[in-house]
Amino acid sequence: MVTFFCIIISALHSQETLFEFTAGKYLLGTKIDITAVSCSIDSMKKAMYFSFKEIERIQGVMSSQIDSSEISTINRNAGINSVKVSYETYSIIERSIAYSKKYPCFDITIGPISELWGFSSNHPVTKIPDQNVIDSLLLLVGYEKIILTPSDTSVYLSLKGMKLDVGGIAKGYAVDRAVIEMKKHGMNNFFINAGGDIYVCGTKTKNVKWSIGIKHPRKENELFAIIELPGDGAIGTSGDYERFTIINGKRYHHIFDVKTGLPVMFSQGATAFATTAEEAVILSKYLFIMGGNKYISEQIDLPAIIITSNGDVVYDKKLEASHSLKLVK
Amino acid sequence: MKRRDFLKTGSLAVTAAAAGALPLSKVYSKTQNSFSLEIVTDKEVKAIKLIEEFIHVQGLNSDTIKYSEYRLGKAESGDIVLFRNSKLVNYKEGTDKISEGLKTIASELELPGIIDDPVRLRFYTDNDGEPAKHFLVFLNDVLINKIEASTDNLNLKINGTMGKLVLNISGRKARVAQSSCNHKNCVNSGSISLANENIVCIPNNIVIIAE
Repeated sequence: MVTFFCIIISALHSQETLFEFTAGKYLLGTKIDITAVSCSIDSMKKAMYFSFKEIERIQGVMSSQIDSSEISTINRNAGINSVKVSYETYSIIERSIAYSKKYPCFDITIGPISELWGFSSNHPVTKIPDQNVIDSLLLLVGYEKIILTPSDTSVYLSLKGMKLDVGGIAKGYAVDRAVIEMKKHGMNNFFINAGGDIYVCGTKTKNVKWSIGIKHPRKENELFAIIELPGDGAIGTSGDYERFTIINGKRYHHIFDVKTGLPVMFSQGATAFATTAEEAVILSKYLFIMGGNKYISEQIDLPAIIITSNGDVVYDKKLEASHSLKLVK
Repeated sequence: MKRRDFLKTGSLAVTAAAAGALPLSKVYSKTQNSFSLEIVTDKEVKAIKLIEEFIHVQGLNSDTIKYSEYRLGKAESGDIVLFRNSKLVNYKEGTDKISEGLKTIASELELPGIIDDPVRLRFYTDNDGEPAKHFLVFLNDVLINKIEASTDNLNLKINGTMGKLVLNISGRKARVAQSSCNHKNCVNSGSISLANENIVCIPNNIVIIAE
């Protein structure tokens, strides 16, 4: 009798109508969309409400564009005072330093350079900054200049003029927190897209996985690759087509070499894969900066798709099987 | 953020072409069971529940049904519009099961009627890849203009948050011809012509969606 009852329930569930709903908000400097599939629209809206609320909260704490944020407070007190911050902010800075030790090209102290080129204020420069100015600001860059005090979760930037820019890692972290909210509110099939950094959970339908198209960095409205995630996970993308300026016919973008203060020119785009959005964001930046040639010559053991500066595609062949990777001809 | 404010300021229900990676649109293919059901109402919570039930009972379900909702900028005539396999269902005069079902819903929602603070709800089968019939223009997540895709040589000036944006519609395509924003990503993103494609100008809080 019990088995029969369960079968009826199962049959009824299999006939339930599934709805797909997407909601979007402008947060953390980009458009964030959450798409979910569920038999209840109201449940999806509720889950998304709490997810966006969480992202908004993180923006309030970590955005350097918001004067009252903890990051802005740290920046204002550079070279002056240690600032006690929440454990959350302290942890993200601590993790950022750990990432920098593992991937030296990533550094959240790049703030003064980003500001000089105008990308942090969305007013990119129209001529290349003076090299002497770049060199003087490079003296303020270096994660080792961040002093952390774990006993009271305080952060001190040891030189006046230092600035933290946690935009990238904060975006990945915010996506991961939104994922927790979605799952907490009963959603098992959804994806969150934060300006190309994506977390995928479950499937689009019972038999169809979420498909992700990777935009071609030079051709408008075209894809260069299509992938499917085999299970829950994250994709990070970094590209020179997201925020850039053209000076004397040459493209200058927002991803900098921490040693030279100049935009890295090895890649047009890089896509990385990880279990969390935060890690995917870091890895995509790392792979973009390393470039396709080093990816091969140094046998970097990370699944990746990289478009080199001259448009060649370099990728981990295992993705063809594991992620159904297809390059669009 | 209250839930009501979230609905007012945030609920643009379309997939966005984001920098880098985006959800894939499948090639459009008309199915036997394609439909589009729109309701303009101010009782969205009740309407959603009624339509969910209606779709299930009437067997309108496809694999997955897409849902979108957004606020309209001004008072509008509220009503229900159902297209099934591209044909309009005249529920007010019909006597079939579907028409009777819609009459019941209309009665519960007090439609048709003038709605002061309307929300447009749309339930529809996947039409990704279908040529656009309209271009919808949103400012601060509120629909301010709906333009037939067949309109030719239109240059629509829109006052965004930061300044002016000029939307050009020609040859069943829409593109941003000029924008006051600094990065001009909206201009550089090219034209849209297929259902669910969109162009976003974040500094101006303007979104154009092909439907």
